[in-house]
This record gives sequence, structure tokens and C-alpha cells, in this order.
Amino acid sequence: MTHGAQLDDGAFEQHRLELRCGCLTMAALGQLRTEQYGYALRQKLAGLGLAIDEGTLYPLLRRLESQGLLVSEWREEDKRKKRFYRLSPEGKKILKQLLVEWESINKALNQIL
Amino acid sequence: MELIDRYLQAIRFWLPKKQRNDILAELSEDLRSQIEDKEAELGRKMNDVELEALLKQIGDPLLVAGRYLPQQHLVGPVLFPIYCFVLKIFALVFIPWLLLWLGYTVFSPAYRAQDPFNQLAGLWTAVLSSFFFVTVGFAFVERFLLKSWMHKDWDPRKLPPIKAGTASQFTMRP
Repeated sequence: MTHGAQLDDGAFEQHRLELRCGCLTMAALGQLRTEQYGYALRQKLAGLGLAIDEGTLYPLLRRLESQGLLVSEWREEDKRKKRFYRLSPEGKKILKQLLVEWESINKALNQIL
Repeated sequence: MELIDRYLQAIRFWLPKKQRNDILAELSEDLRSQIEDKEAELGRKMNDVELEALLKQIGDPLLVAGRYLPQQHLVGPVLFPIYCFVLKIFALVFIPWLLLWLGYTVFSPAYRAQDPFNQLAGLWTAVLSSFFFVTVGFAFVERFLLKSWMHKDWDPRKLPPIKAGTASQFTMRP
């Protein structure tokens, strides 16, 4: 039943992405409490065990910036222009609220699973 | 590095004009860093095969660009069932006309003599144009009106009454 197995893989992949999506947002917000540029942020997260590819991170950062949760500026470092992101005051507030939400979900899940 | 330029150019095509340069500058900076790290690890320049593999892993330019765009649709998930419903009604209107045409062409020699396929073409135009106008109408509602229609203060008391003769689907234990 290769067809069934493929379907299962598709379903797993879909749920995995959905699960990761919110987590990556929180990881990015949390990590950007200190200012960083995209590639360094990716390496930091990968080093911590949460690899995120460029095609996912940059659109996410842009979305968060357009919502006012991040601020960014182009600056030169090592003779190259890089875009540095950091958490805005609004972002700090929302991250705190998300953490509360996260903890209550986690607590509930720990009891269920 | 011609390959990388071609890749970035392909992504560029699909990006929104305003953010184009900004997005590409950031992405190419990331690519540059990836290549530098990889080359430092290898102790030599990356060859074409390795570069191709890298781009392949990052993904199809259209998909990469698509992630930067807002989710867009002509008729969204809220309206789609209504849209289908209306199209079905239109289809039901056209089916009798089609049957009529079929009947005439099969059974009436006089009708057959008058170029019946011309009549069919007229019907076909009517089908296409109604599909077109229904779609445009729904796209318009989706784009401009839907938000103001989706009000939170909808009134449960205004739900339509139960159709005569249907049994209750919902019972509560006394």
C-alpha cells in the first residue's frame, strides 16, 4: 500500500508544518530580544536545534515587522550591508502574552499525552 | 556565480515591486553567507554541481517568491460554497436549454436545416459569460464587501425556521 503510506507522509508533513509554524514565530521573537541579522539568527536557532530555512525565516520576519512586532535596519558589518532585526516594545508585549498561552497549552498537553 | 544571479532574477520577477530590491538584497546576503561558510568548510571554492544542489534545496523561485506574498484568492473559503451553489443553479438553468437543442436537432429536420450549431454556439457563449459574470461578482464581494458583511453581531433569532416535515436533529436529555 504505497499510496496509503504516501498519504500518511503528506498528512504528517502538513501537521508538522502547522505545529512548527507558531513555534518558529515564538523562537524568532524570543531570539530577537537581542539584535541580529537573518543569517546569524538562522545559525543561532539551528545551533539550538531549531533549524529554519531561508525561505521560511525571511518572509516570517517581514510579516512580524509589518505587524510592528519587530523593527529592522540595514547596517554595514564586515563591509557588507546586513539587515538587523530586533524586538519592538509592542513585540515584547505580545511575546509575553504568547508565552502565557504557550505555557497553558503545554500544561494541558502534558496531562493529555 | 552566474547561476546565483539567474536564480535571484527568477525570484525577482514574482516579487511585489515595492519590496523587490529589499527582499533580494537580504536573500542574496544570506546566500553569500551560506556559500562562504560552505567554502570555508570545504577549504575550496564550491563547484557548479554543489551550487546547483544548494539552489535546488532552497527551492523553486516561484515558491520562494510566493512565500513573501500575502495569501490571495479570487473567491475565498468563506464565499466558495455560495459561489458553487450559484454556479450549480446556473448549470441547472442551462441543462434544459441544452436538452431542448438536442431534441430539436435530433427530431426536427426543419431546425437542422437552419444551422443548429450556430444556436449551440449562442448557448455556449451564454454559459461562458454567466460563469464569467458570476465569478467577477463574487470576486468583487470577496475583495470589497466581505469584511463588512462578516459581522460578529449576527442574530441567532434571524435564522430561518425549520423546514416543514423535518425531524429534529438535536435533542437534549430531559
